[in-house]
Amino acid sequence: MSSTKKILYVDDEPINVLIFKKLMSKKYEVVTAADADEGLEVLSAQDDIDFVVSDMRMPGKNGLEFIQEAKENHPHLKYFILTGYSINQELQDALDNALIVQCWTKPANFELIDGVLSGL
Amino acid sequence: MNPLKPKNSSQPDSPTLEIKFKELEERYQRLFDNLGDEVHLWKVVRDSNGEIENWELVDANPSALKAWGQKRKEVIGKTAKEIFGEGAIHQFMPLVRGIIESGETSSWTEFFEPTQQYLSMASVPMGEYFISTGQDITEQKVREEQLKESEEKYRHLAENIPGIIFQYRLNTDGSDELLYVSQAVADLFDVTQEEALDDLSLLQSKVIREDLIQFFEIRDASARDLSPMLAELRLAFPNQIIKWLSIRGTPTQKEDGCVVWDCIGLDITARKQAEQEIELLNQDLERRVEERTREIQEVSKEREEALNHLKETQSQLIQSEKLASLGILTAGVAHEINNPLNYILGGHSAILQHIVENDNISKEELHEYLRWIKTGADRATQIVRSLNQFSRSGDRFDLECQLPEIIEDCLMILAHKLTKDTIITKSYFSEDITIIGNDSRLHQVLLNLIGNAIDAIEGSGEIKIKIEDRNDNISIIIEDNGYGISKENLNKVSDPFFTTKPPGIGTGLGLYISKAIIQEHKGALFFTSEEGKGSTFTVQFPKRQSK
Repeated sequence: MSSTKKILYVDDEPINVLIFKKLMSKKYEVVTAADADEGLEVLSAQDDIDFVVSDMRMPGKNGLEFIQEAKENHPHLKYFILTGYSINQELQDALDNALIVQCWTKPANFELIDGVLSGL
Repeated sequence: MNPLKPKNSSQPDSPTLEIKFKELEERYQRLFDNLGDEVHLWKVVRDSNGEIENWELVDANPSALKAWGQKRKEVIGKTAKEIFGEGAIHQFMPLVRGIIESGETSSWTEFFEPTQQYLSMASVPMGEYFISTGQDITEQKVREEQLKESEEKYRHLAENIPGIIFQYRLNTDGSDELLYVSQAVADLFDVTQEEALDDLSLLQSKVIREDLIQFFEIRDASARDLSPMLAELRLAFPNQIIKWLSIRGTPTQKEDGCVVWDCIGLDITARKQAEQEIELLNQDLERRVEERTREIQEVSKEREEALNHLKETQSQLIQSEKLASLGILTAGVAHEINNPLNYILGGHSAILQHIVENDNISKEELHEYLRWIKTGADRATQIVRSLNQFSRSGDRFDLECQLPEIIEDCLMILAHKLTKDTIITKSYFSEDITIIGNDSRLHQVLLNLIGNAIDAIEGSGEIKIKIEDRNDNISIIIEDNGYGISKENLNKVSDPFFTTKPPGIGTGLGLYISKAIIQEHKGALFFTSEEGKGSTFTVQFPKRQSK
């Protein structure tokens, strides 16, 4: 279990992407995308991704719509949301339906994220 | 000839006797002459059949002559027919025949036409002679007539007066009686006049006991002070019939100590009934007035309660609209601040990582992390500044309000509601457009109108925000191509509490309050909408308020 886990992080805000990459790259291999479509492309192109973490509000599809679609082709992956909003009904439903494993809010607590991901 | 000379004494027996007789004759003559009563001596005149047909005056005393208005020598020896006329013969013939034939004295009272006298007459027969005496009772007779007339008048009055007249006596031993009562007593008491006079208790037994006791008290007080007696009595009859009798009496104390009242009693039943009816009506009226007053008080109390309830509800709803606005604000703020915070904390964590791991950090890399922090802090500052615009003005309406800035603040707050597929286009006739008013409330209006436009769009859409210079007005136009408003709802959307949003989301007060705020700024709100095509809201402010 020494192989490094791979995370796809999807967020339309460039600084957020940079931060995620900077703070998670020590333990994980991080690939990023700026929106849902780009994220789906990355998933299709790379079959070694373990976790998908997505922002909620993005141009085009939002985070859950993206995950819904991604899960059809990649059901074995673990999906997460990292959002600036508090958890609303839509996110709660996604948790209840096990569409996503967890939902985190911004500002992100990267120690917590690491704790969850390393336990899986 | 001396008519008084006894027949059998016409021949005196002796001179002494003659002297005695003479004295006697003189005495009678004096009596005859001086008597106030008329005295006349008559001799009957018979016809050939022996029937009395007339009578002839033998003598008459001065009183008679005076009453007849005749002189002695002119009437002596004349017949009654000659002196008084045929009528007198007819009038007195039965009398004269009667006494002469029966030999018995007769007395009577007669109105004698020729002399216009009432006479109390007596005729004494003496063979073919008779003496008539007459007393002139004309005056007495007239007095009697007058008295009779007067009595008749009073009796008539007493019997016909409406009510009863009575005379009532209280004796010194405490017993009482009726001295007189008019016939009307029968109508009032159902007791005849005779019965009443005979037995006063028949009347008293009809009086209700307590009233009778009261009457005795009043009577005794009247007797003591000789003050007028005023009393009202109720008379009870079978079948619950009650009559009211009002008595007024004037007391007089007699020498023997008893008191007599001259009284009038009036039947006042009708008046009492009317009074009672009026009293009942008054009571009923009072009761109804009271009832109505109570009802009105209750209604006004209910209204007051309802009004208070309404006011309370209204203030609750206005409060909830404020909370809803606040909800939009906080949701917007949360998202818009969480991202900059993420930059700041991310930058901080990155730098900290280098320090903790004792890792050298290049100037460029450090600069990058500080840029994240700076960007985050700037955005957070901007958000807070925008947020302040929503609450800073208080009640002042004299502030310069930059319309483009207000729109930017609102868009900032509403950014989280916008999907990236909603295009917002802005076209202002100038970059610097101000009106004078209340900055916070204008923020509230535009937050509401732009927020509604965003809510109207499902999926993708476009919102055009324009500020136009139109003659005397400055107009802010917010146009969306969302689902629009149905015709039936179009004239309801600015009504208070009207909403098509789910409960808990919309209060129905947004447009209502916006309209009120616009009116506070002397402006107007117009809107057009077509279902499925979108809505256009126009806020128009008068230009004189612009600078």
